[in-house]
Amino acid sequence: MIEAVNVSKYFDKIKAVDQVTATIKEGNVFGLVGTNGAGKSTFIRMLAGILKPDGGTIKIDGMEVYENIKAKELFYYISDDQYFFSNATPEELKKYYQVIYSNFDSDRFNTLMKQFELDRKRKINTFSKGMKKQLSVICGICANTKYIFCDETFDGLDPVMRQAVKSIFAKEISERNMTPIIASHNLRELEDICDHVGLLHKGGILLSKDLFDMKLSIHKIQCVFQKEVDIKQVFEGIELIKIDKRGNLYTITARGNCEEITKRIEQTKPIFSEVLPLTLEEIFISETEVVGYDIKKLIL
Amino acid sequence: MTSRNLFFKLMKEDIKRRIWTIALASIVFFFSYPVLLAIMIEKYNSYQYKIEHVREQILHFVGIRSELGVLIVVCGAAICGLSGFFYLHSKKKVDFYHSIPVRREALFAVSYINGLLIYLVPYIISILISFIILSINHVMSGEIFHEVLKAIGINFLFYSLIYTVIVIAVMLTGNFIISCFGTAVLLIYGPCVLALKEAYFSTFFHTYYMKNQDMDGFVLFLSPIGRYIETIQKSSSEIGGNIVITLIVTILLIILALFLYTKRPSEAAGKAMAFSISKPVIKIMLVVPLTLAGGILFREVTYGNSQGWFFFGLVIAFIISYAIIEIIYNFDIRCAFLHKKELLTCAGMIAVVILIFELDVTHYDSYLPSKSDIKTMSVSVDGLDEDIHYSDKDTTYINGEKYQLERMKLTNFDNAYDLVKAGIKNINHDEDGYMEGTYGYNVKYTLKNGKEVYRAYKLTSEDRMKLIKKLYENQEFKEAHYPIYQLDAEYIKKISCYNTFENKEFSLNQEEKNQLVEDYKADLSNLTLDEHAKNPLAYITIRLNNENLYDYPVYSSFSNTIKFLNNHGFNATDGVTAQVVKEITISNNQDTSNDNTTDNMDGNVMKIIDEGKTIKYQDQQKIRQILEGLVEDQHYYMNQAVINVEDMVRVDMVVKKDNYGNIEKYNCYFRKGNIPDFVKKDIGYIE
Repeated sequence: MIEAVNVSKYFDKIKAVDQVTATIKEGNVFGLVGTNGAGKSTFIRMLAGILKPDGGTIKIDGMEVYENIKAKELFYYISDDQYFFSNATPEELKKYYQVIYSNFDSDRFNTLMKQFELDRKRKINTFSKGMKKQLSVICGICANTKYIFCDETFDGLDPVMRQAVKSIFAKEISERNMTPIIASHNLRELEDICDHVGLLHKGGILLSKDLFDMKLSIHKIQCVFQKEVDIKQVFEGIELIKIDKRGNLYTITARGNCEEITKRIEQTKPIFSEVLPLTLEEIFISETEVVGYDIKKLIL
Repeated sequence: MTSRNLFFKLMKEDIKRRIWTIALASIVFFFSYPVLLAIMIEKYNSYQYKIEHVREQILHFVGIRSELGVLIVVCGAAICGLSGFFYLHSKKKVDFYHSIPVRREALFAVSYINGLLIYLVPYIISILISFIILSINHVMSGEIFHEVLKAIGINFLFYSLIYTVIVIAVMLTGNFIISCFGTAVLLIYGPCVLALKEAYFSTFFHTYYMKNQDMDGFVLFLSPIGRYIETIQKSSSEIGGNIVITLIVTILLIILALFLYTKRPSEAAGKAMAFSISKPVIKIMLVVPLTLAGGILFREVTYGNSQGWFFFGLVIAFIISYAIIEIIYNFDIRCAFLHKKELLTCAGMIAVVILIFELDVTHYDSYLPSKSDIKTMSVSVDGLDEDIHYSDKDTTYINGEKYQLERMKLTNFDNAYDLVKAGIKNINHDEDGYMEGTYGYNVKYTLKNGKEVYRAYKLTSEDRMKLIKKLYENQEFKEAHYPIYQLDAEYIKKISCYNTFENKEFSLNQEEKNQLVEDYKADLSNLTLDEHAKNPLAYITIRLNNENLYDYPVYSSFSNTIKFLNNHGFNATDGVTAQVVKEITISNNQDTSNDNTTDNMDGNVMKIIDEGKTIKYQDQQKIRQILEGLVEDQHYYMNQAVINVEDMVRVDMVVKKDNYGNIEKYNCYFRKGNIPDFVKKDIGYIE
């Protein structure tokens, strides 16, 4: 488990990360979203022990991460602009990582390179941006670390490769309980892979919630009533987040138990009612509106 | 803890990343040693030089004093230092290296040690190839082997020192260009500050004695390159202390570099300075001396050493240096005058320094310790025996002032003390710099508390003779002033003697050499300054085993020496007498202009200079009278502090050397007040 408690970081007088507290559970995929300059990269660099927090603590499996080799052995960090040795080939890179990471899986590396159709003997500096990203992910997977930190890793991958990487992640998570921490400015990128999402804004964390919980607690129902009803009366005791009416068609977003909400609607004997799936974006819009932010202005 | 296995694997991987520096080092060493050596040997073989000569040349080439070796050390250290830790200036490289599970200490050690090996390994391989070439050509010797090993050791030590200093410069900065500036600052800051100090002391204080007269002094101060050059110039027996100090300093600097590496924030990559805390310190350390340098530069290059230009230089240099440093720190020209407190601190410090010098707050010029505080004094007088050669332990010639101030220990220093008092009194007369008839002298006070204080004073002609005469009577003064008192006759190779008429080389056994030296010392001890002012009768030339030559004058009062020389077939009794002078020509160069004036082209009044009269004398009676008042110009030039002459009256003397018509020409002056009346009349001398 990774625990960040009241973590702050300043660059001269600029507050990059401000009192961020987050808990990342093992086996979860943690998505860190936010606009440019929200502090995602800084937070991940602190998680990776590159930057020393000016305040607060970051612990990986109970160990302080900064300048702690035991903690650093637990993760692999893929930066948004990964460094590769000049003139090196993936094969040479593999050898280097074999020295650094004792569990580096050489065979898996070769297999994945073949699978992604990347030439192991070709110089990395001739690779495209997307190919370099793929290579970083392959190295990260093969390092066999418990955690993998990805800073904007999916940015630059084509949809096919993105899906391929996601499926590899899913496999690693299921097989060896790997925990990816993925930072991105794009919510849609994280939607189908993250279990838990933290939203950073201006260095501070707006919210950090389990996606499943969020999905369970917020519901969107479309319905047409036989006659005009007092919606607030129908849903008394249930938190209504949004009510949208077009003609006789109501679209209601409410927080609460799904069965309770549908039961209340059924009691009015509606002409039509249906529970719609919520996108991550909609969930975030709802959640951030609660805390007084308009997420459309923050991301997307 | 990084395992040893991992450490060596990391070293191997790091070496792979630094192939270009290895290739460069290998090429440089290969061409600098085996190839050049082979060319040299081929050349020497074709000219059929003696093997000793060839070995001597090779020793210089591959030995400790090789200029090429020094160049390789300095350039190699700069390249390896900057390239080895260059990754610290790149955010993505820092992110990479600092995220992997390797301790920073290990990362530092890997890069640092590889930087040493990149120099050392190609060096040793090239030397081994060179040994093979030398052996094949039958030039190899034990001395060469020993000298090369010594050279490798010392070069490597100083490579490590300079390399570590450059690594520290990289640690302190976050940008390659700034690192290069930082390197330059760390390598030359000391000498520059010392040069600035010398400039201010010599400009503002009249009594400042510039101890570091040679460039070595400037270069040495806190400069690893200077220390390196000084060490290789010393003989083997003298470098032990330097080696130990350098080794200790290098180890301390390595510890400092490691400390900085571990404390260096990763976010420093790309910034000008890595540590915020060092910014104001470095800024003050640069702005203050740069401003002071600007002031003194404008003062010195402008006409009349103007104070106005001095302050103009200070202001301009302050504004420019402060602004440039702030711009570099912030990479933004709009930040040129940020941090007002630091700006005011710099200005305040500069103002304090200027006030100290302008007002002589420390009473530097009037410094005179009480007699009870002084243990010994040393005095070196300018314009007294300037022709004496001084040497350090009979090996190399050294500066006479340095020799005398170091060796002289006047315990009876009353006369020297009076001399200093007169010098301090004279400071105000000397404000405008040069004064005719003013000669300087340097003093070292060795105080009872162990402190050594140096001062330089000037004295006008009125006081000069009286005070120096008393000082000259002090045997302690003479023993440090004349190096013959320290001469060990065992080192004498040959002794000869010459004067106008004769040049004779003696064949003396050791006992006779000792005798001559002892006789000379006894005579010298009794020499008075009045006698010293007369023309020497002859000069004894002593050649030492190391081929150093020393001329010692023989005056008419040197009865023991003259007797010895006479006994060994050299007539030192007679100097130049009227009988041997063929003719004397006297020219009066005084300004004998009358009141006639004329206007020049510009309308300014211009004096017409009368060239005076030139008279030739051949009458023996007149020549005898003239001779009594003459002093040879060379003797005068070497003793101007103690000989006063009529310098506007020139005397040319033709002496018959032998009976075969050979002559010798001399230029002389009349001692002050010694022009015979008939000469004055003849040449129209104006009193």
